[in-house]
Amino acid sequence: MTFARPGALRYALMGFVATWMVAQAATAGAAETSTGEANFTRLCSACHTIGGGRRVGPDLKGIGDRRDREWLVKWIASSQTLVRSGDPIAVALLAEYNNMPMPDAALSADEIRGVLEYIGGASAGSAQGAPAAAPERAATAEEILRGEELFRGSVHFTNGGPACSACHHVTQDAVVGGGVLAMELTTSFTRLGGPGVRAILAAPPFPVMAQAFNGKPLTEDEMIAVGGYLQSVGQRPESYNQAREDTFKLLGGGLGGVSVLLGVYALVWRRRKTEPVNREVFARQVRSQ
Amino acid sequence: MVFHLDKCIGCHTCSIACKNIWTDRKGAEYQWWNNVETKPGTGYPSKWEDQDIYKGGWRRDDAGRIHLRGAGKAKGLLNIFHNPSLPTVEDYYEPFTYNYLNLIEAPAGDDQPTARPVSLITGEPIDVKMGPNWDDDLSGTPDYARNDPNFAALSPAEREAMFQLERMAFFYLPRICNHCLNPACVASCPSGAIYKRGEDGIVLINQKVCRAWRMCVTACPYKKSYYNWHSGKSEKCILCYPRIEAGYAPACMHSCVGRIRYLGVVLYDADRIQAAASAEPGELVDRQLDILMDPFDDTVIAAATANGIPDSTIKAAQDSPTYKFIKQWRMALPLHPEFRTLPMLWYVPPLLPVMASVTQTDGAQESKLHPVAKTWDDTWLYDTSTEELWGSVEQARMPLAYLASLFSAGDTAAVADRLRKLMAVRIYRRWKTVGDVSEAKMTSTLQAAGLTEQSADDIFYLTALAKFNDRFVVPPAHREQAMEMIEFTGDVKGSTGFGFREQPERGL
Ligand code: SF4
Ligand code: SF4
Repeated sequence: MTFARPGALRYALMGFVATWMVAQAATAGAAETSTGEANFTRLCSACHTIGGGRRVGPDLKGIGDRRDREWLVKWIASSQTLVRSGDPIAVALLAEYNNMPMPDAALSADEIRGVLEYIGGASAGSAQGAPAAAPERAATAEEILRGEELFRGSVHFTNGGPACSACHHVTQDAVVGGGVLAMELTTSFTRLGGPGVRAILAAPPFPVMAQAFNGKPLTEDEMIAVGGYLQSVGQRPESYNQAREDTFKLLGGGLGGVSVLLGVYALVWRRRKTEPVNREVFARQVRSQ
Repeated sequence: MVFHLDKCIGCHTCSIACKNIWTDRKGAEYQWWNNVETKPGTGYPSKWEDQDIYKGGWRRDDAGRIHLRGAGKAKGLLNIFHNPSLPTVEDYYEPFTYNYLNLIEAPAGDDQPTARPVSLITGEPIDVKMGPNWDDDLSGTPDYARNDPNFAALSPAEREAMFQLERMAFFYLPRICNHCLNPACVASCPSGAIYKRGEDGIVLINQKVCRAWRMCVTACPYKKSYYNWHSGKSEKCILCYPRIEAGYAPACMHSCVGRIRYLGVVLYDADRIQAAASAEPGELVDRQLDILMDPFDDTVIAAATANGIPDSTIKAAQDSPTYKFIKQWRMALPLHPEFRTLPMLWYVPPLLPVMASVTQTDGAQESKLHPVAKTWDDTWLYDTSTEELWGSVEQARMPLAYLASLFSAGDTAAVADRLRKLMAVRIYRRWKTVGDVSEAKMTSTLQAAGLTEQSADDIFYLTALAKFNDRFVVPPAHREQAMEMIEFTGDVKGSTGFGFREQPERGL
């Protein structure tokens, strides 16, 4: 098998890897006999809280009272199927949350009900956040730089997780040709906010990403670094592949380079013969015009 | 090869013969593989002898080793994309033709139609600035003759004397590639396209290997390698090797009206070429003569046979007119030996005996003249009286120093020696045929020149009477043997035929 260009090979490989990962995730999910709480922590808590306020998705406190239970089961099983079927609540929800679709949970209807049970119970109790809800702090400039390196893969994650750019792309000069398998992340921070990005990094809700980072979680510092980097990418739209105002520098550099080169040539070939030996004679000759 | 300059009449038949056969192609129009120059003069290309301008030939360093002046490994690499000492096309001349059609097709008008010159390079009408023999017969012109690089060897007084004599004294210098023993062109080629053929010493440029670096154009001090701007290859005199292989003399020699050209085999000791080329300036000619071998010497014959030189070639060397002129009689000299390429075209220098001299007078004689007699303001007297029949060699019209600058790297004694022999043969023949020279005078000049009556007769025969087969002794080519040394011809036997190394265009 031959590929027209190396890029084709890469995408094909990513396709294989993704299929394999989805399959693995599905098996893993079926084998799981965890309780509703465990499933909530694993799958939902990245985007949702119970009484902890909005994150990527809505706060789920008292959701059982607000929505019909069967509707909730359908939505959790496959939100997009519901949106496509034209369900007005589903369409409105998607629009409210920046058109960010909720991933399908690889759970049976019973398991989903178990999760809803847990939410119902928890709503009565105290507020719950994401399991990795650690003290938030802003990334330093150094960490942002490190985040870029982690994203690009020039520095490896400590626990061996794959580099972000294997599947994601961001529109920034430093990242050339990031992956196209998953979301383009330029505006992710703006859309999801710090806690949202952090939650996804801590416990990826997306099956492929979860599988990719299964057993290879990001460390606390790495999450801050990558989050900071994504934030910086979102904040500096002017740096996105924009022509920098280097016209005069380039022109100056070019002219300088040319004059240095010409100088070297003039030195090397300073004794070159440039004129006919009889130039003076020819100059005196009468011309017809 | 030997050119006997005393006999050249400057007719340019040789140049035309060569041009018609080899260089009337696009890109080669300006190339005159054979050209005839008037000396004193700047030649073609202009001032080719001035190596400060063109950087040709070899230079001897303090350690006595020789290096190419303008090419070679380091310099060649540095200048490989920009060869700084090349002649411009104007140094040769811009080739042109005339718009002859205009003479026939011009519409009716008040003036005669003219045929304007048209450049053969651009196709545009041009003003002709220069030609390959622009200063032909114009010895004494300030632009050309007086700029002859050889005048550097003359004292201001000698130069002044020549300028007074200039209207009477010039000679022709026909030049072709010298097919040197130590060719600078071969040494300079970064592509290895130039080679000297083992069997006959002809220096050739392989047109398939040439990559247009033009190092040979710079390196050849005689400027006898030319760049064809159309084919993008360099070309040079091939000594009409197809004719030589067929046993004919080259076209220029064959057609020479003055019969000045001699061609023959000279055996030489290739092991001593480097030593000869690195000799002290004063010894260059003698060292070069040393490596030319006597074809009658038994050890030389044995060595030649051992090296695979066929008997027929050795026989041709024994009959060679060039060996006689160069080594046996020592009457010839190489052109500019100081370029150290060991040129194998030797020249018998021209003997221009004094028929008159110019002396300065005080004008006293003029008072005796009749008032109507035409008088001149200057005080020079053109005096046609000489004490002897032809004067002496030292009084010759071309100063010895000038000839020495051309032919012996400045050694006037070497030139005087050759001229004395020419003079002695003339006096000998005068004594024999006219009889107005005393026998004592004849004998003493022959002796002074180191000749005998026998050798004087031989020289006279080869100079004046020699027939075609005396002047050109071309051995059988033995091309097949040369080829078999390089490749096994049996490989192509029974395939596309013997001898076709490429498919002929018409197909088989
Ligand atoms: S005269 Fe001929 S052989 Fe000698 S250097 Fe020039 S091109 Fe080469
Ligand atoms: S053809 Fe012979 S005589 Fe005429 S110019 Fe050439 S060398 Fe001289």
